[in-house]
Amino acid sequence: MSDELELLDDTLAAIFAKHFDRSARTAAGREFPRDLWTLLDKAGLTALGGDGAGLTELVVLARAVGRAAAPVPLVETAGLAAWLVAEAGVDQPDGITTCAVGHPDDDLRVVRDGDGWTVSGTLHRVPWGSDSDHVTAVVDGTTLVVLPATQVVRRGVNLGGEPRDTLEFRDVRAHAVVDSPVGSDALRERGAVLRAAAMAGAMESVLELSLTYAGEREQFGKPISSFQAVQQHLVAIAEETLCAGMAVRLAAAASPEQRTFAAAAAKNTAGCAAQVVTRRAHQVHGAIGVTDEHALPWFTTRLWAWQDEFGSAREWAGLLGRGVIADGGAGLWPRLSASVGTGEDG
Amino acid sequence: MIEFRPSALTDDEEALRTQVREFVAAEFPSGTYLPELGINAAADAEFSRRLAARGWVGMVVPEEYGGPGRSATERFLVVEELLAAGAPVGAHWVADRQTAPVILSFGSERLKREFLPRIVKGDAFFCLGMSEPDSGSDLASVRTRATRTDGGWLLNGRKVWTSGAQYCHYAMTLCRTSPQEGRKHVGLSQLIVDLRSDGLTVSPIRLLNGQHHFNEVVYEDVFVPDHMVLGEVGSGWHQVTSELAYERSGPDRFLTTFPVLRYFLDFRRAAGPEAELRLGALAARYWVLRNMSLSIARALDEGQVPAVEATLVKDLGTSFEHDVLDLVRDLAGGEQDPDGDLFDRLLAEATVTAPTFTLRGGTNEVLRTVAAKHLLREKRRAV
Repeated sequence: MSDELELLDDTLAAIFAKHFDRSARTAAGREFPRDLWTLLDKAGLTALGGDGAGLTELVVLARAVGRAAAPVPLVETAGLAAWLVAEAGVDQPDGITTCAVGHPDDDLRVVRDGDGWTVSGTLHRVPWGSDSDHVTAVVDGTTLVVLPATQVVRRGVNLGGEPRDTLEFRDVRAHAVVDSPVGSDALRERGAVLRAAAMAGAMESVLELSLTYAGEREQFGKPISSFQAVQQHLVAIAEETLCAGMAVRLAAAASPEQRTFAAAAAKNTAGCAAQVVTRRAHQVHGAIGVTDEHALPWFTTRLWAWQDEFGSAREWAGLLGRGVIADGGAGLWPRLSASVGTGEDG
Repeated sequence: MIEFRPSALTDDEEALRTQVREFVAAEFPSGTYLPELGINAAADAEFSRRLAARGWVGMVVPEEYGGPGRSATERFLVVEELLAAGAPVGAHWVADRQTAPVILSFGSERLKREFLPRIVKGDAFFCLGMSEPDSGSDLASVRTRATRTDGGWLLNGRKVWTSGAQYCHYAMTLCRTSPQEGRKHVGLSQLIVDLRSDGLTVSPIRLLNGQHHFNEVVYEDVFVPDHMVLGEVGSGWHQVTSELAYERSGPDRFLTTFPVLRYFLDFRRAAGPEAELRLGALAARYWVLRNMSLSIARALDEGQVPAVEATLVKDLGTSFEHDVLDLVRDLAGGEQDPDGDLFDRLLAEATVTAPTFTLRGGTNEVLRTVAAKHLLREKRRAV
């Protein structure tokens, strides 16, 4: 990593470690950690994707969120909403601006109203929808809508306990409605890469926890890490974690023409890795790992949620596979061995 | 914490690859030949010399020893093209992959001058005298021993699974040069043994499909002159383990079955949701593993010794080579026919030789044990 990226990584890690330790997490329960958010905001991190940060920086950010299991919508605000808004040339709205995920049941309708627009319809499973002041959505593939997130009809969560709320709009005056240079496919792609990055971060923590636990826990008079059966679990966890991390970094470094391929490969890899990592890590930890007295579930429950968000491993595999079949035998090797770019090409 | 980093190719590297790709496309048009399977590839000394004439054998050997002085990354780019096409790389394989680098690292000036120019020309082929009837994964327990004699050593013992000894010129032989007292890793040395020496017998150990790949090599009072000892007498274990980053991380550890997949796509029909899903996941894995393997070549060029990274990539890559076969067999359907068309024959051969993928160069289980100990040690150190 470059010095700047390392600084970003260290800054996030320090904020999460110092201001959201175990007791703060327990005390907060499902309350939005307002103090933590204020710190992130003051550090200039909550709108990073709108301040010229590229995918490489945002991947570092998402990975740090995953590594800390930080219960904040940083990926949605800094990584997605701020980026969408900046790309479309819209003013960043006040407060927390989350990003709708493009749920298949979403049905926003936009109507001209004098010099502005009013919007009606429903957005489903919006991350931190009820804690946000605004929400962005890409409608009809190419229109960016920025709305005040006022009417919450259902508070929900994902398996990791992160808010996934349903928002309803009835003739709501839009903050902005503009043609979006970022289409819904590109949004889903970036969402997939950033979720995969958070997953890679979470898996790194699972690996750390597993190595620590296996080294400390004694049975039959010795640490369980001295058993080869346990060692095989640890190495499989490490391998899949490294694959996910590499896949995500490749997606960030991809040249423009390989961006979709690399994004699909990243989410597919992270999804496949998460299955191996969660299963084996819980096996290493035994019963303590499935209780709220251990940190492992902070990460594994998120991995179980994130593996399906912005497309499952299976969904992205389908896209990749159609490409493989279309390319045929002669096209496959050049595709697989194409050099990544530097990640700076737009 | 270990981390793999993506690495973009330079313009020069892209240009080299274009040259290799053109060469390979001209030599191996799809469907006109039976591809070779990775390092099980047949030996074709003529092909090796054609490659050598282009400067693609012993690429890391510097100019002063007759080589082109190219990087590990450049070698990686050449080798992966050859393996993806199923080229017959068997003859020069070991000399190119590891003998040249270890002679460069540990060899005397005399050994460098004697062997490196010949490796580069494709005139000196090497095999590895490592495993023995009673020493496989536990390599340090080898019993082949060399005893002092006038001007050199007398070598006695027996090596097995020695790939290519029937056509190679030399065997890099790991043996005991002082009796074991205490730690078995002490007192081992590497000797370069001329396979035409008096007292040396090579006999085939046939694979389950009758192919002649492995050999038994028996040494009975084989004289090895002093100057043919690689590096220091007694430092064989250190030298052998330092070879492993070269041996374990390359494209040969994930591309063995790639030609099977390519021939499947070229000569059978892939369609439908199952094919899409499974081929897609396969493509993602190839993409990630190849870039991990490439990043190890880069690390070697930067002077690092990414031994654990190489171990992990070998475990992942060789297991994946099996997955590729399972998938192709499922999608192809029907019964396998070892006398069918080129695809059938290739798939059949891959199926029956697949067990070697995860055995050679250290079984994957032993690799994982080694890697786990490293990870746990690093973790303890970090606390």
